[in-house]
Amino acid sequence: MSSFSSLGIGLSALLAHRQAAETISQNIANTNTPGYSRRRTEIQSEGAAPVPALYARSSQAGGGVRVEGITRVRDEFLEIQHRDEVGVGAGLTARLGVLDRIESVFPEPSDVGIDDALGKFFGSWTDVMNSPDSEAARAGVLQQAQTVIDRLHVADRDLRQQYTDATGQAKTLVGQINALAHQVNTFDQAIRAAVVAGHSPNDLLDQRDETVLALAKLSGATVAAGDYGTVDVIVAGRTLVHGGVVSELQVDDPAGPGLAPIQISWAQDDFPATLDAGALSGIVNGANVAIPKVVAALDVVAQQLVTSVNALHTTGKDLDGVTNRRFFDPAGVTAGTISLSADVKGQPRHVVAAGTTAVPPDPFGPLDTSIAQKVSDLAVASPGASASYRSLIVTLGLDVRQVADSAGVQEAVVQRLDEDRKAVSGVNLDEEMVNLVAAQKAYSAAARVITTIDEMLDTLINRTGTVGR
Amino acid sequence: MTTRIATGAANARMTADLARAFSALTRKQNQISSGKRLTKPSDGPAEVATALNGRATARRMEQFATSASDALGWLRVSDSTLVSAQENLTRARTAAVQVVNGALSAVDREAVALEIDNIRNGLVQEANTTYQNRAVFAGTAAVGSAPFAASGDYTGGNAGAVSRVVAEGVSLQVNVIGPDVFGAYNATDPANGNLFQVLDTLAAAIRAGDETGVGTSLKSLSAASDRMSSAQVRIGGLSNQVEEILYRNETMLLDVKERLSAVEDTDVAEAIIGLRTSESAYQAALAVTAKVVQPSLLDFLR
Repeated sequence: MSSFSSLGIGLSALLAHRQAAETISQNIANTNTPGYSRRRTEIQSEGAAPVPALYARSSQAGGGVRVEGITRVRDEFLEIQHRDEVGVGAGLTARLGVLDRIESVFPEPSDVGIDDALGKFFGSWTDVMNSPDSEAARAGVLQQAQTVIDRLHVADRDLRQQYTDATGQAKTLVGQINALAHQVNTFDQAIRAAVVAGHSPNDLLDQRDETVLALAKLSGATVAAGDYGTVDVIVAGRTLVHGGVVSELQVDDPAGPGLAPIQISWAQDDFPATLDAGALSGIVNGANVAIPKVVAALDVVAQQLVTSVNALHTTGKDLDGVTNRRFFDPAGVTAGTISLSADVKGQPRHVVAAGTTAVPPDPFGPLDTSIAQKVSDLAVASPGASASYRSLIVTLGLDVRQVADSAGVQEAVVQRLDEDRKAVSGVNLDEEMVNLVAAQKAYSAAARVITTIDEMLDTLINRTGTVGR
Repeated sequence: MTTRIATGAANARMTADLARAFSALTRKQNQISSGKRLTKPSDGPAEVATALNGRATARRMEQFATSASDALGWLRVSDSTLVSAQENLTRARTAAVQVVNGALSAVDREAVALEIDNIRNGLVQEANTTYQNRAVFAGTAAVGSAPFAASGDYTGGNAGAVSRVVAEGVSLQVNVIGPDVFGAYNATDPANGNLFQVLDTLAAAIRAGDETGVGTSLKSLSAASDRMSSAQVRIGGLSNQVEEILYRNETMLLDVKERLSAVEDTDVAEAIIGLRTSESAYQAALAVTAKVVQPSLLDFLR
């Protein structure tokens, strides 16, 4: 045991606790930094040499304290869970966004919706029944029909516009995913170099993990640990980032006109990538499933309207006794193409209200209204345009509700997991202050140890052997 | 296990909770200020379905009410026409009875015959009465042609039914066809023809002083009056039915609108209580946050 070893122990304590204070300062400085994991200074007592040297004896007290390293405090398991659930949540939220926008096309119940227009259209035939001699009443029918047509056209156009917007949004997201993948790769290169060189690149790891989280949010990516602190990022069953290589995603050009499904694929071999979580999957699923479903349902409404009204309209005769008039153009049986036929457009006298028979004598007078009555009764026909439209609205409402509920639940799950992981890795200022005080006290004590040893040595060096002076 | 709570996480949590409380408050405020509980399908898919059905029902019932009022107008015009026609018929009968009872001079008979002629022409006009431009006894014939020609023949009308839908599935024929009221025209045997032909025959018999002929015509006149009465009974019955339906329709419409409002509109009392609750929740959250965010160990270390 050397006379000076106590000084060495004191010094090691000074150094270790200064390091601890530094780490605490870093933690406090980063209280509000997103993705920052608190650091801990790992210190360990320096043991005595286990095998005594030939002429030296082992110090029983030990050799002081040693800083093992500075580690990130985090629970990998919670991080993985959180990342997965964030991906699922982002997918649901994005899908809810698409559905919300679809829903905004149908402001029901209101006086400006399609249901209202359909009701007024069928109702206008009652006016024709009450005054079959009045051209104004028949012009009213044409007017109401035009309102129905206009509202169907607007809804169809808005839905298609949303599909186009979703395609654009998917392209933006894919661009962001590729950019983030490159960032992860860049971080990984630096991390690998640092780890190989024996450093602990905590800040790089934090930033990389934050980038991976952003990536999971957009693409539902999962992560597998790679070598030297790097990670493999996996999307749709294939590696997006692996071993320094980034495989980019792309949005395929639509396969055809109209509402051809949006397809994501791998840029290197055009192999389709089917994402099941993340904002991109929400957008793609919303656009590929929800929008065509509503468009098709709206087409059914238009088709039923055209068919049912024409079926009655062609069997009667107009004010001038002319038969076989079509009300809607039979060529337009979708919400986007429905239109008044050339027979009646702008010509109220050609609107048919009276019945007729092919074989004379015709029992129906010119002011008969049996056809008008049948058309007005279509308002309550089932299946019929109004009934189909209402079922569209209810289905859409239920879909939105369901996704909104799931998204709400998922949000709570994500928040819970986020709190759990922050409970492990987040900075608590009170705790840091306590640790800082502890480090400070230990530092002061170590300094006092050195002073004391110094005094002891002073006794030894200056006061010893002065007997008889 | 000691629960560690990171300072940043606690702040984030409090911010999120505040946002949630505030959004609940805003939602309540919106419901009250807009007066509507349902603004989009997902606000309540089942309620929206009920609301749409209710709106459709209300809309149709309003149409039924319009049709029923129109039907009532039609029926009243028909009825008042027939009341006046009956009076004229009585006048004609009274005049003709004079001829049967007492020996009148040729001049007097001519005067009576002239009155019968006048009554007959007046009746033709009444048979051509219109309601909103349409002749009420003309069936579904085109506007503009009078159903009864001056000869008394039903040339301008047809047997078409004028129907009004006054309730769901209830379509009522509101018109009576000319020949059903005034009798069928008989070109070959005017004495057995319609009311106008009978009056013509009566006038001719009076002019000729043919008392037997007058008596026969008077009998025919009674038969015509009976026919008209039975039409009046039918019209009266229909009027009652329509009035009843109209009244029931009104009550039901109120009921439908009330139910619609229950589904669609904000229950103000409930919403205001909800608003108060949300308000106090928000204020409590604010107060607690203000208290919790402030202190830290730093306040106590010296």
